[in-house]
Amino acid sequence: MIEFQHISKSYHGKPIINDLSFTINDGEFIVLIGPSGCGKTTTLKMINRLIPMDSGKILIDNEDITQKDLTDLRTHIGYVIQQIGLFPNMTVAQNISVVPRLLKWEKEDMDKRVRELLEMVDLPYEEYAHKYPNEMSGGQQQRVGVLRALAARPPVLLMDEPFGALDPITRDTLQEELKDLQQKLNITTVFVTHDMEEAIKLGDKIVFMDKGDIVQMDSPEEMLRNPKADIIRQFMGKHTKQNNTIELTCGEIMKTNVLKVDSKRKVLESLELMRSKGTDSVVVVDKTNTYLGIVNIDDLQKRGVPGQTIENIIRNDVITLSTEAHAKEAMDAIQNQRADFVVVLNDKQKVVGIITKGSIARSLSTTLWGENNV
Amino acid sequence: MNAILTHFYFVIISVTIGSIIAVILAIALSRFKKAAKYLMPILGIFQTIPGIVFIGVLFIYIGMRPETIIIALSVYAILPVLKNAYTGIVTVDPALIEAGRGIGMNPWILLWRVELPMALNSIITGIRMSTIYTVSWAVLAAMIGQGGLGEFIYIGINSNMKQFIVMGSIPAALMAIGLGFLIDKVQVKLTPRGLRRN
Repeated sequence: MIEFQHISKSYHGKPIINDLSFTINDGEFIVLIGPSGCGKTTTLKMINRLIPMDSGKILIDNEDITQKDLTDLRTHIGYVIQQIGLFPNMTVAQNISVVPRLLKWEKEDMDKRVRELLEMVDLPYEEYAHKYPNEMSGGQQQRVGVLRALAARPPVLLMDEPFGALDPITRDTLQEELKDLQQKLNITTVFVTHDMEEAIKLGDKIVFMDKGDIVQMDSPEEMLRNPKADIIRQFMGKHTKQNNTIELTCGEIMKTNVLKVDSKRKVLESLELMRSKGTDSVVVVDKTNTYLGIVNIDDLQKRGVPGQTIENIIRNDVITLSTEAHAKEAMDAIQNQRADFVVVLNDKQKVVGIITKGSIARSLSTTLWGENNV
Repeated sequence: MNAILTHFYFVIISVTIGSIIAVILAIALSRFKKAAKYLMPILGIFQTIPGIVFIGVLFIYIGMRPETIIIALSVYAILPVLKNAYTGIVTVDPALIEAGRGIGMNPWILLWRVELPMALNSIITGIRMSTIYTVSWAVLAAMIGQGGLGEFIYIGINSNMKQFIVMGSIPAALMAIGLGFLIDKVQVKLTPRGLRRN
């Protein structure tokens, strides 16, 4: 249990956090959200004392964190940041073992733990343990970032916009994986984001902050039904259209910033592109932007022949829908057929967008809140 | 042959001493970045004092001994390493520092496992520069009768015999090239795969 008791903090006389008090129960997934400068990141970083508070107390399991040895405190709190922050001079295995090493684990225990963790996120040990961070995609790197945080089985996990820099498809996959891991390990998690759809998807409770105060702390359902302030309503509807789901089409809920590659691209070139964009799969098109299929990074790494084009490893098992199709079809595909995303094509079979779980969550929330109160 | 060895010996000892002092100074300065802003230019001034003057002054206090040369050359070897090491340490990605602190590394461990390995490439580049400079400065050893390749060069100048000048300067040039090459090899060897190419 983490208890905030009357926490205040100001920078150069400007208050950032005003008399904040709330409690996080064991095993709970708490999302801190709010506009920039609302104090959410400051709140998070006070838990592992990266930022000292001016007054008040934070208790973890009834122990005042300021009374604890700093290394002891931090090695028992997992920490994941947006910039990932894997050490480029260390391999994946070494990165994951950083905290166990600080805690002076035996060599065999560390090795066993690395295997166990990599297995949990489907990165085979033989293939990935001895890679360096710059040899992996952004999504794979952040998976390792999360594993590094979990390595020494901390009871608490802090995450500061961990998926903020990833592309939509990879972000969705990582959100799913995180939620699974979190439930499996029953680890108390505090997660900062400015993305409401992410908050709704992940949080057991959402803490909405503004100007250093908690505006509302509720379950996602409750916050959806009864947002207590205009700013929350605005936040939810910020990027959404004013429409009713019943009439929504795929064209209206899709994301349009799709990463596409030409089928004549070479294997290594495509790998490099996916790495630099931090994505796990891309849509493949021909010269006229006509849809051919998708390529994912696993296939590229396992079946791609350097020097050859990616044509031979294109997958066609992804569901495609037209822009005019009912949004419900996309939801069904994702919900019932466990697709990570569907590709949206126009009537000439050209790629115009994709729909992920996130796009659906967002359009759902608009319907629930009704129109934008801006 | 003896002259080459003496010369080589001056270079290796001075660069080693200079580099160790430089890295320690760089670590210290990187903890006090504000002070470093003023200290670095002051240290730079030392570098502009001509070697002859510096050795001359030291000679008055210490005398005609190899130590005079070693001290002078070490002092000159410090600055290139210091500058590179300092830049290398302070330009480590702040995200790495935050990640390291956040997962419980204390400042010491952070320095050993993150900051120094990340700055290593830059430090070695500094050592390479120092080594090459020192090979040419070590010629001054002959000025106070401490041998080395400078001996031939001085004889050559004094007696106006070109072959002596060549006998001194060619081995010195080869030594600079050879040591530079060797350090390049070491640098490649010490750079982990994850840090190459970027």
